[in-house]
Amino acid sequence: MDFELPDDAAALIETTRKMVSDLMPHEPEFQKTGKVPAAVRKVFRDNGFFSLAFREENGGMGLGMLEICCIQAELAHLPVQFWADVKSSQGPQTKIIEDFGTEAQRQATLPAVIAGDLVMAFCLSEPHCGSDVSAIRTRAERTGDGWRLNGYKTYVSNGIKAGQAVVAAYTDRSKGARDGISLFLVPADAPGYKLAGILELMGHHTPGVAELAFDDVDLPAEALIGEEGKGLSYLMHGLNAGRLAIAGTSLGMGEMALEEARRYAHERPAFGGTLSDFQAVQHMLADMATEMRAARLLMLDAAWRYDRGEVSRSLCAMAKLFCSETACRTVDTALQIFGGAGYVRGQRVERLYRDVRVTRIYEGASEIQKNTIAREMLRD
Amino acid sequence: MKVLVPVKRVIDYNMKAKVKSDGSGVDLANVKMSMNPFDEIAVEEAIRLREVGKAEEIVAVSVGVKQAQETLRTALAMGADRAILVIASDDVHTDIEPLAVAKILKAIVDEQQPGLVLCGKQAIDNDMNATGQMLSALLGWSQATFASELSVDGDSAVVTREVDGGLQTIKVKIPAVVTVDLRLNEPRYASLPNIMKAKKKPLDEKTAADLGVDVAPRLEIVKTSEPAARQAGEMVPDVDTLVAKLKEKGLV
Ligand SMILES: Cc1cc2nc3c(=O)[nH]c(=O)nc-3n(C[C@H](O)[C@H](O)[C@H](O)COP(=O)(O)OP(=O)(O)OC[C@H]3O[C@@H](n4cnc5c(N)ncnc54)[C@H](O)[C@@H]3O)c2cc1C
Repeated sequence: MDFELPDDAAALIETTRKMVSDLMPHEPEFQKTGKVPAAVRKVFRDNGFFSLAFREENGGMGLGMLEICCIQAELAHLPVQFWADVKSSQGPQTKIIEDFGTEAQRQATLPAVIAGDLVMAFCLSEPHCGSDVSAIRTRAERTGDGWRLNGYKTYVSNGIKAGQAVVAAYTDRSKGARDGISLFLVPADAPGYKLAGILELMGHHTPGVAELAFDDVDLPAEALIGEEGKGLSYLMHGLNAGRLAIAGTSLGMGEMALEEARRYAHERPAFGGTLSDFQAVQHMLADMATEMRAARLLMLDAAWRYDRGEVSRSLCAMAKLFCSETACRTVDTALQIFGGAGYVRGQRVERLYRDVRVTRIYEGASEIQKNTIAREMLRD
Repeated sequence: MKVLVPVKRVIDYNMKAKVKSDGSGVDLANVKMSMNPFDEIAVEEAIRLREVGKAEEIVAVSVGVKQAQETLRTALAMGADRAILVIASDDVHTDIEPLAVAKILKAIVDEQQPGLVLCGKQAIDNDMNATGQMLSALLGWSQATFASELSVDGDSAVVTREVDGGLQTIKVKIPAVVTVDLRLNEPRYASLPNIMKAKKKPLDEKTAADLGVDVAPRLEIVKTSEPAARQAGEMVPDVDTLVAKLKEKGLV
């Protein structure tokens, strides 16, 4: 058995780590202004970060989930806003187009995404339903030569600046979610497509997620992605990869908090020594390190198997569940070690505390991951 | 013109070097290794020469252990066209001395016929600052050391050198050996797609014996020791005490 990362993965991670550490000094400026410095996007654009997940024939690097998760864990040391676009280039919205879209849909989106010029949105959640996908109300009706889309979507990441959106809608409610939901590629400049609102968030708090309204948006027949009624199965197709990527995100945040806490415990004077002299603090650090290591191994195992074609819903759910829950605990303990300083705006652990919380909610909340794990266990 | 860039695998500049318990050298087992930072600058400069049409091909070469392959892959990922690895030892703790490296590089130069050899001014592990100079002597080529600016024009190169008194600009005949200093440029990252493409670029392997160079050390390391630990400072209550203390120590 060999626990070493493959050479390629190691080289990619190493380089990413170097770029991330060079970008770190931009954090204080960002914390002050809320604006992502242009230099950040340039580094990601110039160094191929928007091409990671796409296949080589489509101009991508064709990386596996092992590399993607590990790279994501490095990026997650930086404020979310720095890499949100990079992450969206690997999201279900682009993967679905690559795997099920027509050549015309691919041409209209992928080259621009890879060049870092186009951000795409993924619109599934609605105000009254998130976990329960079958309850969406957005619908698309056939017109003479196309479709008419009506509905309202919320929590749309990157929805404010997205140029194209993948939208889930019922095309035939009588067939239920399994055969009645379809996906559409909708350009943001289509008449009737409206940015209806912006929700400010606890973490990632600028620029917020979007609410998008679709009022009688007329789409040509070619806007349908793949086959009619296959929407849910396309969504499920990308589910495991999406969960692994969040495992990577939360892992990176937890590891960053652990490193911050280790450094601070060493430096902070207290009672004639430093915080790291106290066994209570040492034990906190030991627990954090042990749990984060376990989280990393769980993610690596699930991702490695995924790339070998041994796709297991349960392992991906476990990785997402454990990495996000562990990272939240670790960030919380790190903040405790910082004491009052950890509660101050501008402090990295304060930022992580707000940012990490959502990893237990999106891409399937922890409870939904547990449902999946239990379902797989109890299936005979 | 072909440009040859020698690159060395050294302990990563972020690592804290630890001396082996027997004092025979720095412990390099399981320590992160990277390309010597000055060599990165040399690779970058070669790429820039190619970008402005002054160089056609960039060949990176490394002398050392098999693991120096990784260092060459980095050079390839940054933009070198091909690489040559000369295996001169199988022990990561053996440092090949500058004269032996220079002889090996001379053999490579004879074979590859580059117009320019761009070296780092020194390696950050042993700070010898000798290989480039020795190579130019062995080849009988012009040399320009500590370059902070370089331009190539026809059969000559104009090099600005960082010398003790300031900056000195000299013109040398090509072929030449140029050693590069810190301020010459800021090396680019190896982009992620280029890291993957680098795997497919040619990397030839030879041994020092193939080139007929004896790499047996001529120097004997008597002892390696850690620098003396810094004494803890003293906290003073106010500026007056600080000034008094400084006077006491004869520092002001
Ligand atoms: C920052 C952010 C970005 C997002 N980006 C996007 C995006 O780009 N596109 C998009 O479509 N959506 C996005 N979402 C929405 C996200 O996917 C949903 O928030 C998530 O699916 C949970 O849905 P919900 O919020 O409606 O919670 P609900 O489904 O209402 O669930 C509320 C709580 O009940 C629990 N629960 C629900 N059902 C069960 C059950 N069967 N068993 C046990 N417990 C259950 C949940 O686990 C949760 O704890 C984003 C959300 C956030 C916060």
